[in-house]
Amino acid sequence: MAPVQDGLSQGSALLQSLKKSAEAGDMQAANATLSQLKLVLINFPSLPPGGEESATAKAERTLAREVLEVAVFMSARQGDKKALARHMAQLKPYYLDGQLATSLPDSSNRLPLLGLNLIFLLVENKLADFHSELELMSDEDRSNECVMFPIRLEQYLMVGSYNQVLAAKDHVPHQYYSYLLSNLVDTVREAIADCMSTAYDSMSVKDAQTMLMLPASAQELKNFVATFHPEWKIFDDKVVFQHAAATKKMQEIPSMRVITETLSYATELERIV
Amino acid sequence: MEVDKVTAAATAAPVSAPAADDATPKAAAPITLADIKRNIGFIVRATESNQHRLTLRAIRNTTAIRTRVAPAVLKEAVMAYVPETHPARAQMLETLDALPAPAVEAAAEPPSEAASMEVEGEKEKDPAAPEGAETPEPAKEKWEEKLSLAAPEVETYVCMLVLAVVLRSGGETGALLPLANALLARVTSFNRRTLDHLASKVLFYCSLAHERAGRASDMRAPLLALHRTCCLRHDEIGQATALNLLLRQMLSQNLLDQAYKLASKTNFPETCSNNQFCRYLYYMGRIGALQLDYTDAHAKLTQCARKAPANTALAFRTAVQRLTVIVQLLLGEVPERAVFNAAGMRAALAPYLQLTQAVRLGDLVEFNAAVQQNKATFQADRTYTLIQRLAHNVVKAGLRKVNVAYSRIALADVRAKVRLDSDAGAEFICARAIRDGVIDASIEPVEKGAGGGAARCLRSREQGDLYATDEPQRAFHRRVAFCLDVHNGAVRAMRYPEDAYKRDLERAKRKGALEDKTEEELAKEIAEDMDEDGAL
Repeated sequence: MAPVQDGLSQGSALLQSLKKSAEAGDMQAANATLSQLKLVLINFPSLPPGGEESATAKAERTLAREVLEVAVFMSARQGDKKALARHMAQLKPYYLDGQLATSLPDSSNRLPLLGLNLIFLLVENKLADFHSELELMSDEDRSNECVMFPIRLEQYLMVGSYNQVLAAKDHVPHQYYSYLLSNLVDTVREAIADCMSTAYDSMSVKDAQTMLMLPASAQELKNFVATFHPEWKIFDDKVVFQHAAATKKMQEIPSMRVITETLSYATELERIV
Repeated sequence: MEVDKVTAAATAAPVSAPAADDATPKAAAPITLADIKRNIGFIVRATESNQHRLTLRAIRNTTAIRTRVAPAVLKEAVMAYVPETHPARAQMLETLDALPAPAVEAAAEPPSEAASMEVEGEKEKDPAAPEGAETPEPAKEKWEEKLSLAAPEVETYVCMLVLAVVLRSGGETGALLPLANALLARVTSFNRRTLDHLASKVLFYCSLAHERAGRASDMRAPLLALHRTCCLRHDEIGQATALNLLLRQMLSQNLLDQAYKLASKTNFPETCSNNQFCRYLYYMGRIGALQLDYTDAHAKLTQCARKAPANTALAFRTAVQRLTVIVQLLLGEVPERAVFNAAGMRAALAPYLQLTQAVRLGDLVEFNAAVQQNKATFQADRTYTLIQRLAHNVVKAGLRKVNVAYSRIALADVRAKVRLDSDAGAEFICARAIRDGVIDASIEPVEKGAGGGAARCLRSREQGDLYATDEPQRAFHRRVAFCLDVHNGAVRAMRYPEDAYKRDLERAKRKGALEDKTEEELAKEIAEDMDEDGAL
């Protein structure tokens, strides 16, 4: 049991320094400490996938959970999506029902982190996963501000009230959410551009700038158009959208399709008679 | 968890048998050992001739026994048919002793047989009839021999009966778990294909016992292991049952991700049991709906509703219907009115009707009122989260109405009509609706002088002539393909009795022997045939 005891004391010391450097914003130091901590955690037998019960199991798990929580916040802050997904996946067993979750008291970071995960899924446009996650939460959880926020965001996005998405950015329930939300703006901008090209025939450059939230200069708009929608044409003060799928009238008879269908009817009927 | 209870009932009471709960008020003759014996006769015959349908028949006849049998009778059955070497025999007898005897019911016609005959039709009656009569004198020894050959099947059948009856009697389910586990272990120790259907029943009851005792998760690992074993043994009904039980368990715990992964990594044997397939479709529909794959979910649920038993399993059908309504609404369709008036579902679907009306009108205020009013119902039905997603469909429905009614309307007016928050928001929402294809329109600036400023309006595009496109042809093709599919499915589902072709072959041979005739005679015959055809 001795190595585990050592690990525990070493781990909690490292955790303190990790929290300190993370709060101070010294990401380089924090990352280094995190790697060290992970090495410590590997030696604990009570963590998944081992799951052995022992006298120190609770302390080991609490430590691991705290480390992972800090890790998720850190990766959100650094915008490291892959690390965020990975840490979240590791952290989830501590929150869901099961041996791991029931053996520990509830963490105060649980709901903010679940909310963070939801926002992450929104940014990544993984809506199916978003709803699966939501299904796992109780009613009580869902009425928490940290979880309500991403739920509202999703509704705005679905309806198309993009201006409210941007407005929401200014009053986030948790400071770490804003790191991810800046990513959301790009997603939203692309969605708006998509909508514009179908809904309008043309519009003034100024209006396009306000709609796309590129108020600074017309040049910014030009860059955006050049990268994402090269098919748009900009004349003087007007943006003209090319309707790719302009009303297509039937040009010719789809003979091949008709022939295959008719032949299949014939074979099927043959079989019946 | 009303839904789950009923799905359980749906499997327990197969399609053709009257539902367990319907049968109780119709007091019927008390079940005797003879009734059990008759079913055992079927099972013995099934084992001997390797015909699953006879086993299925015995299972179907079991519904009446299961609901009304007295523990004393069942005890006799255990004494008679379960060998003394069976590890759980004493346990079974003990449990049965502890059961209170059911109230004696007045005699009436037993529904089970009548029902099964209705379904099976006249053709089935003949081969089944001599079964009961076979036991007397000369055949007795032969019967004993056959019985010993089918010992595992008979034993399993009686065990299944015990388990079902004990579960039905309510009481402390926790105490039942050791018995259930012991029986399951015993059943799975055999490897006989004739046992599959009975074993799957035992599995089902075992899992149900765990669920009732609130320890469903304990069954997950054994179920997964069993599923694998069943796959290796080509035990289709076992696979289907285990898979469904797993899905049910995961969905009841909201483990959507796991359920989805499980379903996508396994194959469901679709042909082995209609009831199991039905449940599977429901689960898949639910998974699809929750994961935003509405089109697929809708297809699955419609198929499920079509395959579900027509007269029984009312609550299962209601659950399917509830989900179908919501998925349809999420797809932007409005369910037909008749759906809400189906027999027996009217009360259960009333909140959903209210919801549908609000969505159809596109009235956000009314929608929210409907949701608030019925929140408890929706939560109990586990549709609440899905319903929360409907809000944006309400807005879209409202926009569509405005779009149809006006060829050109200012955005400010749209906002007032659909009751949106702000003008800027309205513009975004309209743009999004146009992109999603909800409305066919474009946004234009209002001509100078008319509105002034940056006001914009929504102008509906000219509706093209649909009949100038190939859309009607495609729709027609879809329907034809569907009908042909149904026909082919029906043909495939028909049962061809074994050896029937031999009889035909013999007849043809005999005919062939007779047909050593001269050419002239043959020609004459053909001419006669043609005359007859003409007469017809």
